[in-house]
Amino acid sequence: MSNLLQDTTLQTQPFRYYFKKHPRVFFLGSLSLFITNFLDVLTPLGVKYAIDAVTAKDSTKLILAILIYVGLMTCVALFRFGWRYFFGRFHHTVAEDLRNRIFGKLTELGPSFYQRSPVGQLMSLMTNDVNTFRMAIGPGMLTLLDALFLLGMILPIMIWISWDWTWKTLIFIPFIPFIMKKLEAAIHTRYRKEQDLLAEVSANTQEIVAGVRVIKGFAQEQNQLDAFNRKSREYELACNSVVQVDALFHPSFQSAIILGGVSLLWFGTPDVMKGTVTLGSFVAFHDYVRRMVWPFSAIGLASSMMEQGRASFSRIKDLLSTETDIPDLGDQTIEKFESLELKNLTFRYNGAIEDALTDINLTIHAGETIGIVGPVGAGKTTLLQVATRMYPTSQGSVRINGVNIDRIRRDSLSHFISYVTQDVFLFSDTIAENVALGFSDFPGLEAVEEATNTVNIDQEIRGIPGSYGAYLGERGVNLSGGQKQRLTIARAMIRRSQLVILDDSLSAVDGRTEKAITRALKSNLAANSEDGSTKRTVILVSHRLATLKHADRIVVMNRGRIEAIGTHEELLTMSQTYREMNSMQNMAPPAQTGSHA
Amino acid sequence: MSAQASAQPVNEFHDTDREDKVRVGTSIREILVRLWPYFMRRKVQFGFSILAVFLGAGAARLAVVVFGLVIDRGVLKNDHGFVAMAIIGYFLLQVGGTLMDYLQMVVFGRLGNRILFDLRSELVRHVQDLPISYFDKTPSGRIVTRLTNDVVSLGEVFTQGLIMVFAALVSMAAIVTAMFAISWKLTIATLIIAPPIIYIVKRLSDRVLDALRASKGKLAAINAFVAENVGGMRILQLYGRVGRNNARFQKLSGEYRQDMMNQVMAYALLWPLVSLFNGFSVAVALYYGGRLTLDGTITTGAMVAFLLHTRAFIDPLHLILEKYQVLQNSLSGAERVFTLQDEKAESQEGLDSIDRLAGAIEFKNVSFKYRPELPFAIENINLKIEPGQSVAFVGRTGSGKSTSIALLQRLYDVTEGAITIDGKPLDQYGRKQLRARIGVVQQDTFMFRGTVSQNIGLGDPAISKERTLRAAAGARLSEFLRSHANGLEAKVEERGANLSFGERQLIAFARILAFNPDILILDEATANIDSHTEQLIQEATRKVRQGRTSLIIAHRISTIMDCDKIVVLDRGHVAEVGTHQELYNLRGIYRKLCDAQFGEGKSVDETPI
Repeated sequence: MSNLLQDTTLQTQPFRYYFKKHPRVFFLGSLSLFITNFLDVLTPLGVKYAIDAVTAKDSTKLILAILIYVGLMTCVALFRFGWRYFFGRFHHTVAEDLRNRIFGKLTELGPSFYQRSPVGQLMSLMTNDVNTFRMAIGPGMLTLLDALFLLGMILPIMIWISWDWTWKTLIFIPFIPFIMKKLEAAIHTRYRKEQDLLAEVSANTQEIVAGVRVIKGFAQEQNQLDAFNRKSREYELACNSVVQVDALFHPSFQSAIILGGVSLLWFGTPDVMKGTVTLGSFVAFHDYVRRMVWPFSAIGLASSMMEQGRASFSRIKDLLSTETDIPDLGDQTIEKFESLELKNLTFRYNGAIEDALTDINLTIHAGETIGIVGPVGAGKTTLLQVATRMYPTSQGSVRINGVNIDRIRRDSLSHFISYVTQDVFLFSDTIAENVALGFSDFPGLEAVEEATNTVNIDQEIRGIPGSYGAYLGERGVNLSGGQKQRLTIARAMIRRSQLVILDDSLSAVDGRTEKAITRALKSNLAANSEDGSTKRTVILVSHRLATLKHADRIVVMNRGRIEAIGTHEELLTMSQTYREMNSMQNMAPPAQTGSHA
Repeated sequence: MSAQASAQPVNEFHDTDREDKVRVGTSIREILVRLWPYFMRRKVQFGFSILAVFLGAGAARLAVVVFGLVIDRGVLKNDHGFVAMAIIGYFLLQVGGTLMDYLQMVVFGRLGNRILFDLRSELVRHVQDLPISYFDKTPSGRIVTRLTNDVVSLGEVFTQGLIMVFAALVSMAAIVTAMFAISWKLTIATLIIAPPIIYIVKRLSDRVLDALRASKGKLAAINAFVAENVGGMRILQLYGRVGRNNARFQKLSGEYRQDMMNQVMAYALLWPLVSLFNGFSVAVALYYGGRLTLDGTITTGAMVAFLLHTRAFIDPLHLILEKYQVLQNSLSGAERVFTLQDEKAESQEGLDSIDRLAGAIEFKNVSFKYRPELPFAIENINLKIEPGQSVAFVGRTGSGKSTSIALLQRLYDVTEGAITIDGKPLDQYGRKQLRARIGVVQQDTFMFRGTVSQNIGLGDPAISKERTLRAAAGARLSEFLRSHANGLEAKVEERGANLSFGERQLIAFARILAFNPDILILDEATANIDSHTEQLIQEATRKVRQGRTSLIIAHRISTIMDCDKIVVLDRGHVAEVGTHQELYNLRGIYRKLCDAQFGEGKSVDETPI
């Protein structure tokens, strides 16, 4: 918020914004570049004087000319180092700033954003687009300046040597930027196609590797290979088409040099023979013709780099200016949780054609244990996500202690709620750090162990090489599904939050552990709270009625609506859906198969 | 086992991070030796590009010689006719040389792309033939990186590295030859500072390489961090971890900038040094060449030509240095690709085709270890299954259920004993042919990107549209598909993310019905299903079991009570075998499992076994 003004400059004029932000390195870089070019352009003159000295048979002049030449070259080397260094600092600092901004933005955005933005796309923004913009503001800018400086310096010298030669040799050069631009445009579209196809080939490979068990299981190797080869072949052709254009770059400025050189030979030699121009000037001029090709092609290159940079920046800008639908603008904090109230709540996902939640009314009081059941797609998880403000409310309201949830600070929300989501997500960090995820400072191994003990995983962790310090993820240990699930529960347990939400988190947990967890949840929070009477509020989503049986109230959901609320016994009489679920889950085998009941 | 199988996509970038720090052992020579056969498959293209390199370098030098002659024989002798002739010659030589440059790049580039196609195709074939144990121990992300990024970086050898370096070397050799032709003394004097410069340049480019490697590693770390944080953003927000991870990212990002700056510094020293070297060479050529010209040892034109040759030295030198890095970069990629290629594939011998299996399965004293140093995963299993029977395997995690089933699919080979199908030992059937006759439904079914119907037929041309439709109807998929606008053509996202667990399960059943295997393996899903879906799945299960031998890895007693045979496994041994009734009355392990599931007031599908 505080940077709002700056941010607008960044978004409208990114180049200007960064030049102003880092004026020193940019200025020093440009100055070094200017001096480098200035001195470098003079070096052929050193050669000219040397050759003229040779033709004039004057060896002192020859030595002098060479000393000047060597002196120039040394200074050129020094300043060359200078501009590389300063410009390097400039554009790499810019890239760092952009990366940090992008990441910061990503941490503000909610699930509705992530649903429509694939991870791969965001990664590409962070690396490719930032890099393309860096190339534009760094090397692109540099190339442009370089070209302008060189043009401004070489041309006067050439004209000074011979105006007549100048126009006759350079007449071919103005076509270069035009050709370069055409080539750049052609290669850009072809390269884009190549990259797209490469992405497809990669995705295909990924599928083959990830699905190798299915492929082997159904003996589909040959079919998969055929399909892969078709993609791979398309990619090959796209690569070839890039090569074809790419190979034209060198010949196209080469041809300008050739034509210029031939023209110089044709028109220049008579002048040298007549003696109006010296041989040294002739050789130096030949060198200048060669040097003029670069600035002209550089203009073409720089402008296409700038264009690409602009395209990349507009993608970056789109992200940076994305408004989060769950802005953290509240000013209220919750010290002691009293109630969670959902009132006339109706919710629809972006782009969906049906409501995910319809007219939900539910009040949960502190200390209650609430069960939620319902078939897949009933809206259970959606309800929890709206209630914890992963999504904004549009119709109806969510209130905590009577305060609208928008007005509560996010850090306060995350402080008193621990939500164990349905999808188990562990970070590639140590086991201990994963459990202590919700703390800004590591709470100590004892606290971690206490939590893991509650979910009966302490012993198993000790059996892993590295114990609590073992890394998870692909480069570390692989846990079983059940173990992962228990770790995510431990992650919630350790925080002793006043409201704990378990979204189908007990599905892969055995009966004994489930009991231990429910016992721990129901135990008093007293150990950590001044108020001895504080009881934890628990919301449990499960498909197993046995898990929910002892809840104070059970909410039966179906097709986004609350169908019934009540205790287990009440629902058995009240709700048809609940009764069906119950009878299906209670097909006790001895009774059914008879003989030995 | 299946827990490992469902590899988590958490961290696919981290391993590159680690491996990039490993020093590379492969040399460019090894790459060449290894890729030689691929070149030899396309001799004409290969030979043509080599020829073009030589012609191009020769033409460029001759053009300079002509330029010198213009001065000596034309300008200084006032011979207009010679000048005109020479200019035409100069023009033709230059045009010819440039044309050769172009052809060399195009032909060699195409050749490289073809070789990469071959390589990718061979690698994918090879990876599909690797034993499942390879996939157990290798994270999927790493294999994918081998097949994509590493092949691409190996490809840079062709597309930009090899031919250009070769061309540069040839043109440097041509330059030195041309210089020697003018004056060997002058050449030696001019190039005398080359060795120490080359030494320093080599040291500096090693620094550049180190910096490159460091920054690549850091970039991989940044990618991994972003991928993971984006994936788990919800958790980070829910648990108030955002601020801290922002700080961690900024630290990484700053370190990356520093690594990039090291690279900039190394380059900033390298390039000016190279041009300074060239400057000194030109100065020496001017001074000593000037002296020789004054002496009359060489002509003025020769001196100018010599200068032009000297100056031309810098371009190929530049290029070699630049490409040296590209090549070094490809080395690590190449090495990893080659390591993957050298991985031993499953043996493919066995019957070429199997028409139909009756489905009589027998385990005879079967024992198996995953690795020689590990204890037996299953030991001395004896079991007979009649055609068409349904057999359930129960037991705790690690009791050997999944292992026995994997052996039947020949995902692993038995250590001792034998498994027979229809009386024939398994190793007499080819692996692929055998697997084609055995259908598997996994706990969590893998879904391919594409459509529902593609996921049923798996892109097999043998599975017709009607068959897919019938299979979908048979698996009761229609009810689910009705909610998707496109029905069977509904899009399936990566790993079936847009489908519910139940939908994925039903698609897996439809797969079985479409492929109609003789033997069915069903690894029952543990949980997460609501009662209605459960009912659909039960129905589908009954349907797919009809008419084929079925082996079920069971987690809930309720689903297997009607099986012909229940096999209770305990620590790798068969503990009990019989029908539900028999085993229940036996009051052994099975009875305990039943009591654990039905007793204590818990519902049927409560406890996973």
